[in-house]
Formats: sequence, C-alpha cells, structure tokens
Amino acid sequence: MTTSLKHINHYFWLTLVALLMGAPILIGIWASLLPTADIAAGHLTSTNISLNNYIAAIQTTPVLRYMANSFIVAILITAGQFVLCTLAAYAFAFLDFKFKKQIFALFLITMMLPFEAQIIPNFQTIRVFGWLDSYAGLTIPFFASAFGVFMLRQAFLQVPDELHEYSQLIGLNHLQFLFKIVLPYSRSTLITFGLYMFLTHWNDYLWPLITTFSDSYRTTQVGLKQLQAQDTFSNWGVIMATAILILLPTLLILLVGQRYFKKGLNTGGLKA
Amino acid sequence: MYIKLDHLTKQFGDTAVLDGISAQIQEGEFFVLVGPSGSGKSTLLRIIAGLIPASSGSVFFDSQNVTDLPPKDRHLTMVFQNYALLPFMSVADNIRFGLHNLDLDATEEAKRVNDALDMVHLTELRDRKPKELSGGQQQRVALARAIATKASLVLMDEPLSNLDAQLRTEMRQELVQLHKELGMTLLYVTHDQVEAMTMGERIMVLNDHHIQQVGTPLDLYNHPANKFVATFIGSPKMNMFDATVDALEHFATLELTDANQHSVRLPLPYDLAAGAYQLGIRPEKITLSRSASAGSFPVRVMAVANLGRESSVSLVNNGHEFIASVPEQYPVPENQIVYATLPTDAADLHFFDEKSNLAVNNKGVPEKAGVLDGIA
Amino acid sequence: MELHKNPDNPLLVPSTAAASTKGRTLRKTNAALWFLLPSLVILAIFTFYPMIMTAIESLFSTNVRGELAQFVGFSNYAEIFSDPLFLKSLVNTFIFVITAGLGTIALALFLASMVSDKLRGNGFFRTAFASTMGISGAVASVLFLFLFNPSVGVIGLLLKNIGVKQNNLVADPTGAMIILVVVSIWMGTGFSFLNLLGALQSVPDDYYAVADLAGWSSWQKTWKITVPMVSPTLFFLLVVEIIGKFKTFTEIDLITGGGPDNATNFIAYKVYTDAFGNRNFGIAASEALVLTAIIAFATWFQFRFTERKVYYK
Repeated sequence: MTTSLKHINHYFWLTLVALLMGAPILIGIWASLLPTADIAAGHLTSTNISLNNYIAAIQTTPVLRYMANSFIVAILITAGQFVLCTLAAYAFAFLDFKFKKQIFALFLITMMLPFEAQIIPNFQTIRVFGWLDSYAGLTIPFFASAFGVFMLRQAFLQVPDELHEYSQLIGLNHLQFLFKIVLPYSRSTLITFGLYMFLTHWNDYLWPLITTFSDSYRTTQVGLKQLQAQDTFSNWGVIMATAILILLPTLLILLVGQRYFKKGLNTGGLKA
Repeated sequence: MYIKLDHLTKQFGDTAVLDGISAQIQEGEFFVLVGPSGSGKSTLLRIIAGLIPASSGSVFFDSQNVTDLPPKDRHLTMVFQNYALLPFMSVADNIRFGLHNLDLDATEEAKRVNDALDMVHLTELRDRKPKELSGGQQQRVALARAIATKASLVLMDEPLSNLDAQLRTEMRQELVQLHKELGMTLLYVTHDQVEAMTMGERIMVLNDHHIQQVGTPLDLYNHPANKFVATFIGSPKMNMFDATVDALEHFATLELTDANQHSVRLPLPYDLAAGAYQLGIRPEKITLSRSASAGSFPVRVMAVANLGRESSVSLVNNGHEFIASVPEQYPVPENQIVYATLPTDAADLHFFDEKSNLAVNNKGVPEKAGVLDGIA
Repeated sequence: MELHKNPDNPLLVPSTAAASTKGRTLRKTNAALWFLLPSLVILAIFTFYPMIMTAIESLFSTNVRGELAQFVGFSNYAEIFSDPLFLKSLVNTFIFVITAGLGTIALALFLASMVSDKLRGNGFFRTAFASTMGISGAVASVLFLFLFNPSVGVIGLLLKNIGVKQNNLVADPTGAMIILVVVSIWMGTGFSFLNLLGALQSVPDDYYAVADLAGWSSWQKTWKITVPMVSPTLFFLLVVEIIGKFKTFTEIDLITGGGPDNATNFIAYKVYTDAFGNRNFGIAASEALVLTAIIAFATWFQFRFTERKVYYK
C-alpha cells in the first residue's frame, strides 16, 4: 500500500469512529431542530429544521431558570472551594505545624469516602439548618474539597524554594506571598481547577435531586428529569432542545479549557 | 558592616550539618564560602540570612546580635543559583519587586531600577519576561535586583553554577568589578575552588560540618592547614606521598624507588619528630627531564593531558601514581621512562600528621585548624 | 501595603520558615490553624459527621422519619447479606462495573493509539474524541433514551428493522444493562483517552530509535516498549474508572429506574431507594457502608499505586 493510500485509509477509519462517538450529540442536535411531529412519526430525515423547539423550550419551560440556578450554584461552589482549598493547600505546602502529616492524611481519607454514603445524615443536617431548597444547602456542603486541596498543594509545591526564601528576605507576609507569588505562579493549575470544579458541579445530580423541591432552586440536571417526566415521551423536540441547551456550557468549557485539562492530567491527574 | 559568627551549630534531626562555626567577616570584604556539596555552606549562608534558625550560637552584624531577627529586618539581599525571578513579571518589575519593603517613593524606585539595569547592561530588555532571556541575562537581572536594594550585605548562593563555562569566567570578572565599584560586604558560596581562588579576598573552606581553614587565596594555596585543604585547593590536586621521618639522620624516606631500587630520600627542610607523615607536593613543583641526574628517580609516563601552554603528566613509580605539571607542551609517548626530581625548598614540602591530617610547621607541632583567621 | 501592618492577625505574620524561638513556632502553628480551619469545619460537618452517623444508623433500626429507634447490632448487615435482592444488586453492580470499566479503557486505548502520532489532522480528532469528557449523566441519559427509543430512536428503529422483536431495550433486563454499559463507556472514554494519549506521547522517541537500530519488529516494539511504558497509566485508569462506575446513579435514575425486575438496581441506587423511597434508613446505611468499604479499598489501592508512579518519575 502506498503512503497516501495508507493515509486515506487512516482518515477514513478515524472519521467513521469520530462520527460514531459524536453520533449521540449530533443526532441530538439534529432532533432538536426537527418538529416533534416528524420525530414522533420516525421521520428523522425530515428537512423541516428550525429553532422552534428552542423557542418553545425557553418560553414554556423553566429551563433558563434552571440554568441560572446551576450557574449560581456552580460558581458559588467553585469560588468557595477556591478560597478554602487555597488556604489549606498553602498551609500544607509552606507551613510547619504539629500533626501536619496526620491532618493531611485526614484530608486524603475523605477522598475514600463516597458522598453517596453521607447523603442521609447530610439531608438531615440541611433540614435542621433550614437549608432545604436553597442555594446555601446546594453549595456550602461542597466548599471543602480534599481533592482540590491535594491538587493545589501539588501546584504550590512547584513554587521554587528560592522564591519562598526571597519573599522572606523582602518581608512578604503570608497573604502577600500567596497573592503576589504563589497564585500567579500556579495560574494554569488554578484555571484547570476552576473549570473542572465548575463543570463537576454544573453536572451535580443526586444532591439537588434530594434537596430541591421548587423551580426557584432546581438545577439543570434535575430540571431535565422534571421536564422529561412531565412531558413523558411526547415532546421529543423540546426535550432534546433543552438537553442541548444544558450541554452548551459544558462543550464551551471543554473547548476553551482543553489545553488546561491536558496540562492538569500531566501534573497529577484529575478526577475526584 | 562586619559579620561575626559565634559558635554556630546546626542539626537537622539527629544529623549535624554545622558544628562550631566561628569567624569574622570584614566590612566590604569579598568573602567566599567554599566546600564540597553537603559541607553545609548553603546552610551557613541561610543561617546568616535568617532563613534557617541556628541550633545554637549567634550571628552578629556589627555589634548587633541578629540571631533571632527575621530576614527582612537584616537589611541584606541575596542572589540565588536559579535566580528566583518571578516568571510572570517583566525584568524591570522583578527589580522593582525587590524593593518591596524599602518604602521608597516612586521616583527613587524608578531611578534605582534604571540605574541597576544600566549597571548590568540590560536596559533594552527591561520589558521582557525572564523566560525570554538567556541564562546569563537572567542572572544579570537577579544581580540588578540585588544592586537596586543598595543593601550593605549581599549573599550569593552558587550564582554562576548554572551558566556555561565561558560565560562563567566572564561573569566572575564582572562580579569582582561590581564589588569593587559598590563596596558592599559580599558573601559568596561556591563548590568550585577555582571560583573561590579567583574571586575571593578571603576564603572559608568548609568540610565535614567544620571550618577547615580561613585565609586569603594564597594563604590557602601556600600554607594549607590540613590535608583536606591541601588537596581541595589547586588543580591538578596536590600529590600525597607516604613519608617516614628519621629525626636523627634528618631525612624523610618516601615509598618511591630510584634507579637502583633504593628508597627515595629527601633531606628535611626543618626539624620534624620521627614518625609517619603524609608529604604533599604540588604538581608544578615536580620537575621532569629526559635524562637522569643527581637526586632524580625514574618514572613511567601513564598519560599526558596537553592543555596547550602547560601539560599534566600522570606518572607511576613503584606502584604509586602522581602528577607533574610541566609549563610547556610535552610530547612524550605513554610508557616512556623519564626522570623526576622533587623540590627541596621548605615552602614546597607540606608535611601532614598521619593521624590528625593537620599540617606540621617547622617546629614539628601540628597547627590548629582555622588558627590563621579564626576568631581572635 | 496595608497587609503587613497588623502583626496580630495570624495570616499577616511574615511568611518566615525560620523559627528559632519557641514563641515564633507557636505563632506559626496558629497561622496554620487559621489556614486549615475553614476546610476542617466544612469537612467535619459534611463529611466526618455524616460518615459517623451513617455508621451508627447502620447499627439501628429507624422510624420513617429517619430517627434512630432501636439498637440492633449487626442485624442490618445480616439482613442485607441474606436479602436476595441486595445480593442480586451486588452481583449486577460488579457485572456493570467490570464490563463498563474494561470497555471504557479498551475503547480509549484504541482511540488514543489511532491518533497518537503526529499526522496532520489528528489534532482535530483528538478534540473530537475528548469531547465526551464532562458531559453530565442527565444529558447523556436523555440523548441515549432518544437513541434507544423503540418507536422514534435511531437504534430502536434499526433494531426493529433487522427484526429484533423486543426492540424496547429498556424493558428488557439484559437490554437495560447493555444501555447503561454503553452510556457509561461513552461518557468515560474522553477522560481515559486524554490520559492514555499523554502516556503514549510521553514514551521517548529514543527508545524506538534504539529498537529500530537493533532491528526490532513493530510487534516487538509494541510489547517491549509501548505496553510496559503505558501499563502504569492503564492500571491507574482502570482503578479510577471502577471507582467512578461504582457511584453510578444519574443514568440509572433517568434511564431504567433500577429496573426492569431490579436488573439495574445497582448498589448506589439501592441506597437511595431504600432511604428516600422505602424510608428504611438503617438498611440503607448498612448498604452505604458496604459501598464505602468497596470504594475505600479501591481508592487506597490507587493512592498506593499513584505514590509509586510518582516515585518512579
């Protein structure tokens, strides 16, 4: 086989596999543009495409409200984690204190404990606090993240000792050292961290499912279940349009953040 | 500002890193701390900076005890091996950042930055990021940052060891020049004895947690206090021979043999007690010739390293290897037999006590380490 | 520079590592406490407390409001391990986790090896293959529910056309399991793909150059260079995928609801239904602890392993 023939063969298979992998999304997008009547009749090859389903989704369902809720929740959690994880990671990377090893182990142990096993008491706690169906209940339990602390500590440890020593020579205090040297130095990890945490909590399902009861606080992923249940298999066009709307921010973040995710993978792996 | 180190020790856990360090560094001196890696020289520098606490002992700046003072209050600056530049700041901003705790007004700050940049010839690169500079240029930025603070004490930790050989030689000259112009007290840590010898006004040799000797470069070269300093300073290294002294007959018998298979004997340049010694002789003090003469002994040439204007000749006699430096090109093939003559001058013969490894002077009493310039 | 003017605030003490006097050490310990306290408080309330409560609840019977009723020792555990439904759930969970885990890694490895060399256009395909990473379980569920729908979905219609009678897979125990496995593989591939791609590309070219000089065949090169170099990553990913798939919840809730006939009532879902559906909190808590034990073991395994991997670097 000649080289160019080999290449054509290579690209043919690649394209085929890529189409297969992308099919669920591509077909979803296509269906979201078709009238529900055509879908229901099995006419997926219809050419009656329009944005009507999207207009209908926005006008007749609370999807925008859901998205706003998810956006607020994901941003609040990301910001909260950013503050708390940065502080803890700073202590583990730059301070000496009693029981440091043991406390770090305590953080790591929480990564072994599945959230699924904590939901029952957590639900009760939130109820006692009066945080059911509220942003506080949706976000505050996630403000601490052992994984985040671990990831940021790894990044902070990359700051050269000499820079730490230099900062002491010129008299920086902890917060100045953190803000003027450590954080700018760890910029790309922080971006990865932010995008990753946003994405993770944009996708949260179980906790909002249990703790939200109204459209005022219901998030997208749970909202999708709500819509699907109400419309039980009747209005496919609108359901698909909603799903694609919810998918858009995810795809956007993946596209923007791709190089950061790749870097993150190289510096210690992502996945809580 | 002068510096006094008073019985400093440092332990990390159970490991001793520094022990009994006492010395005095004069105002405006270019003072070099030299020693092999692990000798504690960087630790000592950091104790002086206040970055690492000493386990015991004190540090004085002039008459002030600064042992418990945080680094920022010691009014010193430091230049690091890896430069410690902030990658996300421009050259000028890095230098300005170094002025952080001086509370200067904006005009003075700008002037200092400009002057420092000018001094290290980096004015055109002021807006570049460190990444866009060569290693040598980055080191100049680090220097400029130190210069701009106008600190009267500058500590340097192996600042040239990441540069290539040629640039390193150039930078040595520049640093010496800079020190002359600015007149600050300069403490310089290096593992490279050539660097120490070419730059330092005085040198402290550290090994095995202890001060081995403090002195001017020529002091160390001509009067090494012990076997370690003798072999550490100078390249190629000082040769060491086993020697047995016969006090009555007033000569030393070496484990070398002459043409008649007799032991080589050297007349003693000064009185020494009878016993076993190590005799140190610098390679350039051994003369070689093609023909035998009185006092010479035959040696076999093992290898010749031709350096152009001089040659190091590796020789062997009676199973003992040593080196002679010849101030010329030396086109002698391997395995050729030539004749070596040892010096007889008192100044060229360094006897070391076999047990303590300390140099013995012409009265036969071992000298104490560091006595030359220790604390008075 | 107002920040460093107030020495009483522990966050504002100099960032000095040196601390020769007792006083300074003490102040530094305080500073560390302030840095750690916010995280520790949240962890204490929302991780350690509930974990301990779950452990306690698993030893009690509970009333419908979830309040502890009576201490029953280990009888909740005895009950779940003699309950055929729980055992079935456990077995099906393992079948799902192993199939989906291996499937994800295999597909990711296949994709990564297709685009690991520096051919033109591979960059585009890399982005395409990585793009399923981060898609939520809910969106994926809706997309696949549509695909597998017996009357309107592409796959449902395809099955019908090739003569499969039961083309409503969701209604069939095996079919439901297959859908969940497919969705799980599809969602997990992007992450594993990116990792494996990195591993493949980080094998130094020199190794292959040496092998070429020694005249090795490409088969030899694959088995003696590529596989050993990539196997740490493969192993790492396998553990990570397994942990992730043990926690699968969203897709079950949206696609199968645990059915049909409890065929997809995997353990994480069963905890939820027993607690919030059947209001049997004691039982749910002991099931949750079984899940915790499995995941803790896998995570511990991964920590040990990652530590070694880092060490070898």
